[in-house]
Amino acid sequence: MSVELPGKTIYVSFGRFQPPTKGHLDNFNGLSRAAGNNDYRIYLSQTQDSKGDNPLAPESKKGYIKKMMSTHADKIYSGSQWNVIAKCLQHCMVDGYNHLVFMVGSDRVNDMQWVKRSNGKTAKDGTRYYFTTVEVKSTGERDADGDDKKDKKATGGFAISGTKLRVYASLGDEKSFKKGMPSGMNAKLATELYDEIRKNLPVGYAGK
Amino acid sequence: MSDVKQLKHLEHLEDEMLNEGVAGCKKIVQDLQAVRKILGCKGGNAGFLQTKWDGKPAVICGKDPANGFFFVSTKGALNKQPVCCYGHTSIDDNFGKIPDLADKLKQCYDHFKPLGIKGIIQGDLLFVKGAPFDKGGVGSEMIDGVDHWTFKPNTIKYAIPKKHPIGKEVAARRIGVVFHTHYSGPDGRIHHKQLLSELSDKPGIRGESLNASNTVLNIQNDTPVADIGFDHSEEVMFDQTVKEIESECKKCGPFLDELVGLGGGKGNPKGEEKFHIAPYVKSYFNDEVKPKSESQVTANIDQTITQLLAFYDKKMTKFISGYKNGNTIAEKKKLVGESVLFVANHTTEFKALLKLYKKVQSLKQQIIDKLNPLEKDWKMFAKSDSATFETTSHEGYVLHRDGDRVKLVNRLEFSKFNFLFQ
Repeated sequence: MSVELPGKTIYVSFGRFQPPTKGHLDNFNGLSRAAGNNDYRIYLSQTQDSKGDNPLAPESKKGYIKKMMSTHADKIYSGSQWNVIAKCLQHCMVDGYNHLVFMVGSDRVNDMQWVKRSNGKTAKDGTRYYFTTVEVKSTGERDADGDDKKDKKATGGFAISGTKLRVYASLGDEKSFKKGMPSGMNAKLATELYDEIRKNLPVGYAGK
Repeated sequence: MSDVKQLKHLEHLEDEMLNEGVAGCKKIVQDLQAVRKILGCKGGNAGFLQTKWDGKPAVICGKDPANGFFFVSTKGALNKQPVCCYGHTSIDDNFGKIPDLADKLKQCYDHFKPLGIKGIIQGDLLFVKGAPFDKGGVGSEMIDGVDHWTFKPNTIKYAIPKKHPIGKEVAARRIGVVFHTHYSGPDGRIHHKQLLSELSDKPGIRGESLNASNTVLNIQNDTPVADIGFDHSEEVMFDQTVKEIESECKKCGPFLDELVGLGGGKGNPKGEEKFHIAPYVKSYFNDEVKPKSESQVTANIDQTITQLLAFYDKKMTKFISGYKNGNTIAEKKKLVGESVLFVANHTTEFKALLKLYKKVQSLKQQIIDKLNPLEKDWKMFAKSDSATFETTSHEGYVLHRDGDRVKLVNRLEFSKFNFLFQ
């Protein structure tokens, strides 16, 4: 297309962040860099369960992320009305954005092409969103929400993942857990997060 | 040309392609060829041109077929429920809430009734003696060391030297008007009890032989084209440009028809057409000439497309802001988004269309430039800011051909003045 299409562009990311890690911070920084002068938003999944995959409650998770990644604090959106990606995207559309760039870790670009395919269609839950243009792009980093075992081949066993940190917490390995936190993070806050994860994990959680 | 039964709205020459697609393109070429004959070296009987005067208000008057009484009115006379005033009381009843207008209509009634109008005619009021200058009265002004009468019925201020024969008439008469149109039924006559709304307008008032009047100055508005003509080189250039326009019309025709099919020719789109860009191409061109427009008039076609899309997007954003339900917003945004992509996927066609549109505008301007010096006795001024008047030209011209009409107006200049103080 040689013409300049009108309307605002939004860069969006969505994730579980169980728990938030320095890998997520890399993802957020990649999102911000890609957005440039455009707006960007990070929506938090609302899932919490007792099986150990989602130990943090949404509000608690939001609080940690805002403190841990303060440069992105006003870009964090969390609420029960945005519990699935389609609803988050509809929220952006209603707020007046015409173009969407959905950013995911490099390993998930193919999986998330449905965001483009569903543009203008009604989802199973009845939600509909539409953007004049939709792109699914990589943040340039591996998705820190990804499953280590599944992604091992592709990533060469990347050191940081939510799964790995939950297992460290389950094993009581606070030192290894904290290695996954963003550098310069307040030590007390890191301990609070470690304790909260441990408290919410089932006994013997091994990330399987 | 414009599909108007009564003289409520005239279309710009170049807009016909947006209104009617291929048929509009053909009309443009035929209109240009008619102008060529009118102004050409050999002359011709292809139609005629009238000068558009910027008078106000438009007055319709004559004998009401319903009762034979003389009436005056505004364009309201053409309504399905016509507003006709048969005297001062009737004027107060219908227009009393607008005292300036009521006063003018009373003067019209008093001075036009003795003209012995047999049918129904329409004119634009130029001045009314006794009214303040800013309400349509007459003023006196030294311009370039010459004493002039001036009046400013609407946007343009007209000036005529006091010693000019017309200037002497301005001094002597009570009211100034340009009668330019008459009305009749399908058989060219007005029958007893025929409804006003059934009448059609025809250019000029040739059928009327008005009584001599000591109080009415009736300005003749047939453009005196016999005084000028294209020279050979102008003719060659004009013909060449018309040929280019004709050729480009053929290329753009199918796309123009597609736009018309998508609501392009409609001023007030409904339903899903309301969300397509097609009906907004014409309103964009009306907008870009306004002083407060966010767009600029430019020969750069890429910039014009970008501005057109921005104009459309702003309108759609406003429409869609009225919806609250997310899914409904998605549905409407989809219509808009697909329309934006329609432009993006048809940039070649859109560029050709815009190029053609601007070429017609450019040739039209050459015609206007040729015609403007004809009314050489008059000076025209328009306010360029809150205090300063700058020299301008006539509002434009109306081409009459085969019972149809189209206006030739310098949109940029006239619209600038017209919208500046709204």
